[in-house]
Amino acid sequence: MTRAEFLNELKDILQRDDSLEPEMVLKDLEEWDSLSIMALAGFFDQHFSKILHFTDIESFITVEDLMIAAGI
Amino acid sequence: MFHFRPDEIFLVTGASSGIGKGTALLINQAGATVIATGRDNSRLAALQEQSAESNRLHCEVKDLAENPDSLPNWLMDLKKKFGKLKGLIHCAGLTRTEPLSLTNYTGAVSLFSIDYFAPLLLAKGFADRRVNTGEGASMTFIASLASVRPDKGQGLYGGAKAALVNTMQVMAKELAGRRIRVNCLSPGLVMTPMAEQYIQDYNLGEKQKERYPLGLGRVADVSALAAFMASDQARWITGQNYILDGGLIG
Ligand SMILES: NC(=O)c1ccc[n+]([C@@H]2O[C@H](COP(=O)([O-])OP(=O)(O)OC[C@H]3O[C@@H](n4cnc5c(N)ncnc54)[C@H](OP(=O)(O)O)[C@@H]3O)[C@@H](O)[C@H]2O)c1
Repeated sequence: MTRAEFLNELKDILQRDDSLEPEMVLKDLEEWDSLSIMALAGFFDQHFSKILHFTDIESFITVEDLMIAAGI
Repeated sequence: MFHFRPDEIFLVTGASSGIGKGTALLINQAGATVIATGRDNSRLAALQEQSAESNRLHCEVKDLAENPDSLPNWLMDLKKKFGKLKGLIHCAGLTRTEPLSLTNYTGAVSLFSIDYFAPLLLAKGFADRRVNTGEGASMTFIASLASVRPDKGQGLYGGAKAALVNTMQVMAKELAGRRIRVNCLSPGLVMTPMAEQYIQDYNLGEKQKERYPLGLGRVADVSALAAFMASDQARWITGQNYILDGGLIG
């Protein structure tokens, strides 16, 4: 998955109308809630075979951190 | 009793007949904009003719069981066409009475397609932030008394409705943080084309009437509660399965 594809997938997971940028801070996103975090954990498991726990995901600061965790 | 604004848009499935039709007309009359769906264009056209506010009642033909995975995108398209949805009132459904000896997998999947998979995927679509209005939005599903007290021959139907009630509780938990409410209504026998067919098929007329202390249900008995559940007056109610059974009790 490319970085652009990742950003697009993330937009869908967050059910967001506007596009995302790597430097955006996750906690500042209106859509960032426990349900989105749960969906994101499933997404990492399905697409990157990575098990991330709630607290792992909560410790990420920016969208970029998520891409680094995905290895892209 | 309850009032809606024209900018409050509700998707009502099964709106071409019975409980869905009654509910679509009721909330439309109470001020809401309604997207009414069913499979048959002429039945939907008849509904539109009955509406006193037909400029706020839009008909969309859709078979909900054909490809349930397409339903989230369909809801996204409806949102683009009409605007964000305040509510989903899911009344489409099918009943089938068959004993275990007649049950097979293919038939089971076809019944589950409309009575469980369709509402499941409609809910997925509705829950998307880009589709609903957020705080105050709600989903109401018509399940059935068979979800909790199934009769002989209701193994499949009751099973699908029980699955719906169970999943509804999960949705209520998942969506409470976004202030979206999710509930089921579970009626006993209500006089609609579906019930009339059932009674005729099994020659149950008098026998069924006698079972219900308050008599058989009417569409208005269910649609009134559906409208209330969709209104902001029900703001503290979620995760419930309301039984309407005319005192049948056990
Ligand atoms: N009546 C009762 O005694 C009773 C009791 C308990 C629960 N319920 C439940 O209440 C709900 C409404 O029942 P009702 O009595 O009002 O039945 P009804 O008069 O037979 O109406 C059923 C509605 O569902 C729609 N529908 C069926 N299959 C569909 C599909 N594949 N795709 C899209 N729409 C479909 C029909 O539309 P078309 O125009 O396309 O046929 C119709 O509008 C059902 O879920 C039923 O299980 C009814």
